[in-house]
Amino acid sequence: MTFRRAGIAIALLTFLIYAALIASLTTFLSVDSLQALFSSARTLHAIKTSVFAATLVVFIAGLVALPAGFALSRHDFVGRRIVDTMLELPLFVSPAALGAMILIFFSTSAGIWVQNNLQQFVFTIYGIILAQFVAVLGVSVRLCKAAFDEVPTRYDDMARSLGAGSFAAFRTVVLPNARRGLFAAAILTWAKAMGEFGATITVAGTIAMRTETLPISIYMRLASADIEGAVGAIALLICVSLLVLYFSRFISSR
Amino acid sequence: MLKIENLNIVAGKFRVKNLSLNLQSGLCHVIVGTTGSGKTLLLETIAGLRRPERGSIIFAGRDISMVEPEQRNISYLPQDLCLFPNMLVRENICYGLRIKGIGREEADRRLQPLAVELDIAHLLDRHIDHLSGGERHRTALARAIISDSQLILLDEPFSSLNLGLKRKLWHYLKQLQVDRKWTMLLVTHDLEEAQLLGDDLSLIANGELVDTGPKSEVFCFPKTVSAACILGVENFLPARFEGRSNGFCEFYSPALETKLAVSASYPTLGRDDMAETCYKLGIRASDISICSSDFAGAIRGCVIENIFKKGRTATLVLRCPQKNFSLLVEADLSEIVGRAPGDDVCISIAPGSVMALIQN
Repeated sequence: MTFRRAGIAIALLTFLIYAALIASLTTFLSVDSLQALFSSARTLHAIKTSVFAATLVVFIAGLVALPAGFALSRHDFVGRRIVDTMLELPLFVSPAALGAMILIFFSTSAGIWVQNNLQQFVFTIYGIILAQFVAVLGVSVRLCKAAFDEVPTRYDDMARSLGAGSFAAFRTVVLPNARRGLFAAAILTWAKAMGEFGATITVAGTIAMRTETLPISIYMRLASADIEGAVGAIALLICVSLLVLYFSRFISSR
Repeated sequence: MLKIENLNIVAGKFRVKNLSLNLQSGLCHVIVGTTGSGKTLLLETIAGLRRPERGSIIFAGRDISMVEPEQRNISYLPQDLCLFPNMLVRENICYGLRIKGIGREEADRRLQPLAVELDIAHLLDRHIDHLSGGERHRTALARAIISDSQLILLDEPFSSLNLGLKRKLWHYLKQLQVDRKWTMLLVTHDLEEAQLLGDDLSLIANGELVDTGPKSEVFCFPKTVSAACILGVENFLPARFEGRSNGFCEFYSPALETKLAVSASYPTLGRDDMAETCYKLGIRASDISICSSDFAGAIRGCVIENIFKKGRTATLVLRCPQKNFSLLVEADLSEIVGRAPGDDVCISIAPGSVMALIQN
């Protein structure tokens, strides 16, 4: 077997692993259970909560990640390495630990003040958004930086020598040329927020019809031995995510 | 117009050292140098894309060495062209005008004649990715000259074009520069381009200025061996100053075992320490010709080592009478009919063509 064939075989194998897992769902999937799932207000609420929170998180993370990613890509500043290393924190600290750290913050005096005077986060949908935001921000900044790295700094230079200020150069030249990478960054951020579980459940808990996202719904159903319901929710999560990923690929390829 | 004083630029281990230049208003100043000599660094620093380590850049009366690039009003055409892939040809060319708030109508009024002249009028609504190399060059050139900046910096603007197109664009650009009295600083390693476009000429090597002055002076009377190298002089012979006679200085060349005369008005001559100065004589291959042995002034004793034919001319490698020296000679094919490697030949050197160069 040549190296090329071996590579292709392994690539197909990765597909097969996931395909087999998805196929095994059908054992517990029935039309009745799906119907029951879709007609339940609790499921619809979980879908809405998941999509709403993940979409909002993409926008909030984008507000931070765009300027931060650009600065990391273009400028050399004191503390750049520390910032760059810290971005990986959510990747190597387990999500549950991340959630626990958020909870611990809210038990400090500053955290208590925030909860009392600004916004209640723990056990609310704001907690979901905060937990997901913290979990995805690092990756989001990293992906934005990578998207800006793809645009040669020569373009900024050229735009500036033609008379554009640094923000005008960013807006008219860098941003449009990084759009594909940034779009991919947004999609991946969205997908990661959609599937986020550990930090979300730690901060927001498992309150049906309030802080129940799709991944939390799956966990809650499994915990109460509702296998059919859990399988239905998994199928739903897969469908929603694949649909969005497919459409975003379709849009970005145009 | 532009005065550069003691400019030092550092880029990794390379540095441009104490470079001083003076650009006169309305003229084209050409910088010729080998690759890696620091030409691009210099242009980038003038354009504001690099900070100099030391020195000043005085432009229109003020020191701009620390001014942001967008406030310099200097056009720059980089060697890699740097066209924006997210814009059409038209948008690329008019980018500077748009950024400066010039309206669409005025931009179009300037764009149309320029596009026609550069033969890109039919490409204006195309994407950059759909252009050929030559079309991209012309687009970038249009972008650099459309805004009528006070100073235009061009970094090897024609290097990847075919000769025919190159010559056409040279004439067009020179005409525009003269008509509109642009001040241009052009960097190239193409001597024909330098001769055609330049009014003043500077030579740089290894980050140092080798020579600068009016084109005719720098071209015809190089002062040092490295200047002559940059100008493409092929032959350098060690020589000893012998004395003066009738407005000429005589040098003895051990390699040719003969005396050669250089006009006493040559810029490196006329100093008091000529006998102690280490001179090399520079002779262009095209200034040496093969002649018959009875020709007055024929230098005997050269042997043909190799002949490289190219079209109607040929380059000959000759071994000098003193065996460890060789000479390159450019000859018409008619001059070398019947000659082959190993043959003895006589050569003559065109009067007034020998350069007295100082070894540096």
